[in-house]
Amino acid sequence: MKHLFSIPFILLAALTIAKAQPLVDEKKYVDSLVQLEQYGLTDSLRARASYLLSDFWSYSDTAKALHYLQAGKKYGGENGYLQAVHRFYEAGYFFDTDVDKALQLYAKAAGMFSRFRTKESYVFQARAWRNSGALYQRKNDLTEMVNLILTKAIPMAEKAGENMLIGGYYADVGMVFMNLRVHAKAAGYFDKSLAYYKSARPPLHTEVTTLLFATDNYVYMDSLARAKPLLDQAGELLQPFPESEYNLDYCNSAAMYYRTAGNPRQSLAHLQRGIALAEKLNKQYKLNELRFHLYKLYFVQGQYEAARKTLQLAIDETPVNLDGNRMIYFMNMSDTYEKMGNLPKAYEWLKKFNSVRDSVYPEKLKSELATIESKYNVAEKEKQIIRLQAEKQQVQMKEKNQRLTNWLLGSAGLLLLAISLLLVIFYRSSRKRARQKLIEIEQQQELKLANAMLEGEEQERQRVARDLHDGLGGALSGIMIKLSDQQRKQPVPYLDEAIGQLEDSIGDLRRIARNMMPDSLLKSGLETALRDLCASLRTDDTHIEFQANGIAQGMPLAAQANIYRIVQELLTNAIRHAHARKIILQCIQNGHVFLITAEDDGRGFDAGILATSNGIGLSNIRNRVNYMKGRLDIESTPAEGTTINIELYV
Amino acid sequence: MSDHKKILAVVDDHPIVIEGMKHLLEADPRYAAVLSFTDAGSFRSYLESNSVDIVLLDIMLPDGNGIDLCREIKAQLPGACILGMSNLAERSTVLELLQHGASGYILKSSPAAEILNSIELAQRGEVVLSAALKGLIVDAFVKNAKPLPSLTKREKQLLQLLSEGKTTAVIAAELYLSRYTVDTYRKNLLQKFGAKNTAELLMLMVQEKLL
Repeated sequence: MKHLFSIPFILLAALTIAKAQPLVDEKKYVDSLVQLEQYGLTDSLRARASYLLSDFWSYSDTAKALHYLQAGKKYGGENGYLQAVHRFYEAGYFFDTDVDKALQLYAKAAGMFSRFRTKESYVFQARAWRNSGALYQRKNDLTEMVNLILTKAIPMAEKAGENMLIGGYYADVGMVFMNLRVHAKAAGYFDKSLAYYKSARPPLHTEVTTLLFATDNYVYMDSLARAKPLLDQAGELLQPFPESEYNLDYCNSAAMYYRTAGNPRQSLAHLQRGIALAEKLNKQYKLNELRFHLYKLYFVQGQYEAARKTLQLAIDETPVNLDGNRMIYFMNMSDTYEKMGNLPKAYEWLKKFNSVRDSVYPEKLKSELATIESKYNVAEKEKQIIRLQAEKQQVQMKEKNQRLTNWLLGSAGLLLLAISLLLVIFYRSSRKRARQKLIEIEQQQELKLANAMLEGEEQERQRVARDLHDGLGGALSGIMIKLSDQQRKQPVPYLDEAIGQLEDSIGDLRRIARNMMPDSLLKSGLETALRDLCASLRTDDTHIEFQANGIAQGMPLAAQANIYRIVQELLTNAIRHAHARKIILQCIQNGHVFLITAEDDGRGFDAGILATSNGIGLSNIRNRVNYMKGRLDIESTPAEGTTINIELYV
Repeated sequence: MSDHKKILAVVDDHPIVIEGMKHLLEADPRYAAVLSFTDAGSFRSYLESNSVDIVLLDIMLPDGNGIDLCREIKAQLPGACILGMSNLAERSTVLELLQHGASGYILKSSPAAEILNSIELAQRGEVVLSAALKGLIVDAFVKNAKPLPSLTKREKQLLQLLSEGKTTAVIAAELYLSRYTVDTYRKNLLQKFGAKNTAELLMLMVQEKLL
């Protein structure tokens, strides 16, 4: 495929040259095409060569053109693309002879090419539409012409990136506007066209034509300063080709320029040279144009008769279908007769002018064209704006989307993290709180229970102690007195032992009752009770040093009893289990803190055992310490002694 | 004085005790009469118009305690000889009663002979105590047997750290105690040794070679 398209592409440059009759080397061009048509490597190549030949001959020899057209079709065969090419050149063949058929074929060709998205296909389409436009001009439908060129041919040429074609098409539009005397607009299109040519290096004749149109346009606008360089440029380009038909256009433009510039001699010289060349080349249309300019020159110079004759000649030889030119001729003829004083004739020509004008230039035409043109401009601009905006928006959207995505992802991540952290924290704290609350409740319950039990216990102890003292103690004491009195009076030997045992028993009872509830605790308070306790436990073997400081009197009895019991237990342990010889008991109160220290020099024990063994004494102490939310610290070394520090809150 | 027969009162709420005492004392020719009262109130009303020489006073009475009654009797009859007679063997009770003017304190569990002997001795102005009670109050009469109280281990640690110039906060951290507790120990030490401040305390400790 690439091979197929790469060769036609080389020919592409030739296509445009071939289309509008090259200035130079026509013979060489035709010969090379004939060579290619007969000895081309592929049928495709031969078909294309045939079509180019057909195109070439379509301007001068329709028979040859038809021959090559058919040859091309034969070479092209069933190839869809080449069939489209065939349609295009077939239209070209009918271009001058059958306008409607040519239009039909161009439309068909454009339709067939639209399937092919190649540069060449775009070029063919652009040319098809442009040629259609040219055909509409012939049908005097300028609206459609400008429409086709601006909305179809130029966009297609832009698609193909063919600046030369674009330049040509803008020149076409400029020409239309110039014909309509909308010179400012025309100038704009010509400038555009020439700008495109600058970058495209078009064939000589194309550039010359445009330059001359632009020159004429500026002359019509009286912008002579701007017209002159363009005219000179065209003249320079044509210098090497004095016999070229484009010299006719040049002469025309030059004549008009010089006439307007107030140089009739130069103007006349150019016209005479042009007319001579036109007659020689048999270019009727151009000849009439030149004649019209000659007429103008004569008219300006006041040579009305010469002017009338020249104009008449132009009118006679102008084909009827070129209404536009004829109308101008009629108008001028009327003017001339008027100047010559022949008013009836002048009126007659004016009437002719009016009738042609009404048919050719309906008033709305200008506005229609303007509308189409502005539509095109607006559309073009909008297209551009939309394209730029779309690009910008796309970039912005992309950036925005990216940013948004990043932001979203980032914030979503952060949010998730925060939520999960919060959940974890909340879960943990709520669990912790619940646990704490549960523990607190449990503790409170335990404390309440322990409190109640302890209080109950203390009350019970108190009651039992009193009963022992008052009841049993009193009775036994009375018995003891009686018995010992009787023994004193009438001694019975064995009774002495019994009396001694009774005395001991009463002593035991006293101790039991005292242990149950020390009377002094109720009567004199904790410190006294503790001092009594120490005194009662002191023996010759065990010395107890009691140190008290700041023990408050107003403590609740339960707390006092509890502390008393703790100390009682501590001392009992030290004496009974540790066999201590010296015990220091220290009780210090400072506000709500109650510190107990019991230090002995007894046997001591392995502190490790403490954790496991729960001697009744220690566990009781522990329970009571816990009951008062205190702290128990035991420090013991075997054979050295034990120190117990207790910190209570009262 | 010996030829004058004494009036003896037993104040005890326990009937068996009263019975025993009457039995023990009524036979004794030294006593003109042995009166018995079962509560503080009846004895007080008796005292309003009568006098006694000897009172055997129980400590726990249904309508009061013997200690208060002892003071009242002493205020009214300074020459009366009052002996506490109780099953209570509390050091504080014994000391209190003696402080209020009692001449002695005997346990009810004492044999009859000891009771009689004690009453006799008390009348001669001696302070009599049951043998079991003597151990309880021995230190009360042996003043300044030991001039300075002992130091506990914790107090020694504390003094050591104080002598090193450490602050309460540092000491608390090292002994795993609250600052308040450390402060309490320190104040106690100052009071215990009668020191005005820590420096004086440390000086004393060094002087007494306790540190």
